[in-house]
Amino acid sequence: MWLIAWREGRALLATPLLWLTAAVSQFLLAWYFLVLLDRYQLHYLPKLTSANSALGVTDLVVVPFMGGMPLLVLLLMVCAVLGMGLIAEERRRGSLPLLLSAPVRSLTIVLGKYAAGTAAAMALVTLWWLMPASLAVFTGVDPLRLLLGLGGLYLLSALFMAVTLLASTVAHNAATAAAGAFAAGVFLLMFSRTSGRPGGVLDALSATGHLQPLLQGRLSSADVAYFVLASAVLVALAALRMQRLRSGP
Amino acid sequence: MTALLKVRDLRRRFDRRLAVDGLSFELERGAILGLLGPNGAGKTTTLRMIAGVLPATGGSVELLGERLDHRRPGLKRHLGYLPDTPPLHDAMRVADYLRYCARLRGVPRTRCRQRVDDVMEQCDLTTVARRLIGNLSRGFRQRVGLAQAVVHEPALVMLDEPTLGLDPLQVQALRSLIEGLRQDHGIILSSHLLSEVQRLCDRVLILNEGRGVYTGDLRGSGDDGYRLALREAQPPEALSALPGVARVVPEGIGGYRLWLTDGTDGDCVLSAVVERGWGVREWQVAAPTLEALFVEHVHKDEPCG
Repeated sequence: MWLIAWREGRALLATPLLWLTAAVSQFLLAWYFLVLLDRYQLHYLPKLTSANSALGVTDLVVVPFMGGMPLLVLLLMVCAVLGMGLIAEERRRGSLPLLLSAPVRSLTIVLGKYAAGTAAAMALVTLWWLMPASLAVFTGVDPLRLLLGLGGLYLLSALFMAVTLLASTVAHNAATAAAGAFAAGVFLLMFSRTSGRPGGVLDALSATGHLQPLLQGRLSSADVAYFVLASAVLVALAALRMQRLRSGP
Repeated sequence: MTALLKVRDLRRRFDRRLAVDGLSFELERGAILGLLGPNGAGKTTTLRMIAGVLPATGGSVELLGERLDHRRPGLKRHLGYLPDTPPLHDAMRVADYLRYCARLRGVPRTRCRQRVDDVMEQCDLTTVARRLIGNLSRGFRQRVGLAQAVVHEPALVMLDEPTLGLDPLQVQALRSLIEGLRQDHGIILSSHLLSEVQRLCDRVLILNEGRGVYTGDLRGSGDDGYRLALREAQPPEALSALPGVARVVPEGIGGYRLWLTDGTDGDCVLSAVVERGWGVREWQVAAPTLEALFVEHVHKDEPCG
């Protein structure tokens, strides 16, 4: 598995796709972060001081940044772009037979590719996270919420990458895989906003619904289990699909 | 001797069309089996199924006496496969790619470097070891493809149209390479080039519309007599009158096909012809060409009317 992950990781590093994605996403999120920071300084800070409120930069900059739709949608796009070619591109280029004819299990192939894609997405998330984390140098930031937020974003990137991996095993080209993964990811993000009343089935399936408690500093095994289980199911489905490609039903 | 590979009743259906229909054959170590057939005969599909790249609809494949299936992925360690498009990673350097392939096929880390060096020397890749695969010429890419198929020293090597798109010099070099592999491997070579199969293979399996229509020696099994060419043309009756000649059929001006009676030595007939001073230009065993064998079996298999 690690051999496949190592090769996939090197392939990602060798293409401009990763670097371009990193640069563009970092620029866009830096701009978003500065908007939040400006708004806090110019709009919220005077009111908080006069009202003697307990709210601070963690509530009004760090959490809105890490849980805001710009970052979440960008994360989904990054995962779709980095993961779209994991299997579909190999199939298009004709290099998939190398893996399929090798003495390795389908699950091993899928896990290796998944590990590389997820590691790349997590590396970008870490770069994004450094922006709110840097506030700790200048002001008081709740370190627990900062770390739980990072953990939540790691789990979310693992989930999005699993969605993309499955799409990549099903689709015959990378663009279709990316489009499919993006559509599925948007549903995962939007479930909680479309379900009407809280506590329904759609809420339970919503990724944002399980991310918010972590951003609020509440570590719940149910939320972590949601991400782990959902990712595991999607990776298992991708492995089954891969098995069908080489050995039939 | 246990066969290296046993294929039994292999079938593959694409929608309503049977691409491979009940194919059975065996291969021994050290032998090269040529897989011949017109376009769409099922050659590539057969190789893909044996390699485990495409699921079979039915039948079985046994490698080294064990059935190949997804429950035994480890058995694929003994299998090397070069598809019609070499499975290369353009962004990798040749040596790194071959090292990756070797490790993927279970070569121990300690032996990996040595094996890669050996196979690069064998495939004449040493000069391009540090170059990116994406920058290589087609001939070198094909060599890298062949190197990845043998880097783990598999018992069975399957090559699908290995010389496709190469110039004559590259074809010659690659053929020599394949001949060199014969000693240690059983090889299945799929090609639509009859000359290639004729030169490299011991046996041939001709496919037509998914079915095996001929398996056996490249020369067929029939008695095709002797071919004689004379400087001075003679009436066929004069040749029929020679001792030991059973039948004569004229072939062009001064050319004949002679069939001898049982037990007659061809050299005796040749001596008789020379003694008569007819001027022998050519005397050889008239073996059917692979082309004739191919046309005969593929044509015979076509439905009439």
